[in-house]
Amino acid sequence: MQLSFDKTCFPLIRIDKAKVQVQLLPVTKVQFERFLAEPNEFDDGWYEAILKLNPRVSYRQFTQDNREGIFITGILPWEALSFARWMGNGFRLPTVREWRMIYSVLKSRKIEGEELRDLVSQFGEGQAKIILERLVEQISHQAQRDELSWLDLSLMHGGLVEWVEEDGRYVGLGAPRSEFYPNLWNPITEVIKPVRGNERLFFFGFRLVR
Amino acid sequence: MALLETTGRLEVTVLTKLIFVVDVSKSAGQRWAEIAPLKSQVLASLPAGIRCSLYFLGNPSAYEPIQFAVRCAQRYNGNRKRASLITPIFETLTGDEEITIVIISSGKIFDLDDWVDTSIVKRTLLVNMSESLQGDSSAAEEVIRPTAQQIYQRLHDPVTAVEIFGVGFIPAWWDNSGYNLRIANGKASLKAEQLNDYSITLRFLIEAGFSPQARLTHASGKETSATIHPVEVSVTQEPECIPLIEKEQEIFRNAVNKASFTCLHCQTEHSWDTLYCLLTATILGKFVYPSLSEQKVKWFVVFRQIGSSIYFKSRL
Repeated sequence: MQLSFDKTCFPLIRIDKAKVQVQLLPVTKVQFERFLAEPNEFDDGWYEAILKLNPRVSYRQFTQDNREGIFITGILPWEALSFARWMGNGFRLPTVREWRMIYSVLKSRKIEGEELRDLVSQFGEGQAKIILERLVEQISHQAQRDELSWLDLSLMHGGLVEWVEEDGRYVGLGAPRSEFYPNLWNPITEVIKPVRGNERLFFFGFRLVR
Repeated sequence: MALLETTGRLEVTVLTKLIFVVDVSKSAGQRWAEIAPLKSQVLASLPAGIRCSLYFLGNPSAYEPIQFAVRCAQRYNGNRKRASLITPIFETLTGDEEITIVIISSGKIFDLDDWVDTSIVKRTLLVNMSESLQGDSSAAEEVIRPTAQQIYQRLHDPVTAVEIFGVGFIPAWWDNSGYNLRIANGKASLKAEQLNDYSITLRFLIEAGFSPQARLTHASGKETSATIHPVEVSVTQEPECIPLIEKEQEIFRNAVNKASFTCLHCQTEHSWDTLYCLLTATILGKFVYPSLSEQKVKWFVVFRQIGSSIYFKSRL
């Protein structure tokens, strides 16, 4: 799997079928905080409100039970797009079609042999490596099987509901694990539409493509 | 009691570099009228030799105090819209073991928990102007609405004396000549006062199961303790073991058995616990083991039986 890195030093993978690069994981709080550390319209009060919905968990200490706490959630689409603009280089929210194509490709692709070790070896020492190593350990344990797919690792299934664009509007795709938010969603056939456009939902996050 | 011989090092750090981090975000901005003068008063009270840099929370750029003072309002306005995050600053400072950091703020620093148990947060003092900077966490030491004098004393309370002691503690050699051997009530300790540098590497005997202790006395009268870390001694640093001559070995075996012995200097009997023969021409006497005089030993001497022979070693 061809790997590159964004300006926050988190990994992107290339999905040829969708003709995009996609962030391997949903956007984490530590990535979003790089954006918040610079002067912008999101102040401490805004972030405190976000953290009330999904409290921050340190990326050094998250467990299998609270790992969703490392991801930025409760965010509105325009706020995700502000982050995307800050990331630069054409980053944006994926469309419904792109997201589903990425999902299908990752589901069909097992992580082969040394592929995971090769993946981690490409990381410099830092937040992304620590997060990925902990996630791999937890997901492997949870799956109770030796073979993982790239879908498992990406948390497009068992992670969050993620903002995607559909015909100029924004909806959600994903199937969080039941411990975080009980649901029976199938992201290949269903989209999730918040009742109110400005409603902050603790299980809504996002990942970017370019 | 079994005595173990080991080498340890005590590091006593002094304040040389100080980092001030001030919070001008919305949550703390209302306290700016108190934060700014507090920072200035502490800076003004510090000795000239201490280098200072200033940061704004969230901003990894450092400012010299004079730069900060000249364009204070501009800097304040330019940083007001940053979130209360410490990682951008800590990342630039990690690895510099000489710095002490003071963060003056009001309200939670969102990412402080990411730095729990790191060496940088152990050298950080949080100054709480109204709301805790770390909530329920205890990542760093936090003081509430201190005066400038209290912050100054916390930062610059230099060590004025160090004493190293322990159960069965006997120092054999040490590399800081400012330390002196003290013996009181049959117990040995090393003590130093009014030094510029109290760091020391020492070789010592200590009762098995115990560790030496270092008591630091500060200018304020406060006493703290420090850890003496075991260190590996290279072969070249280890003193050479020198054999006693045969007649000296006989004296040693008698002494260990608390039996009197015939002195090699005066040819008369001495009690088993005699170390100096005073019946010689010299006023101060001579070692009953002439080899020690020949080698000009200093401080403590360790005797050890290796095989059937007796050896000694010391700092020469």
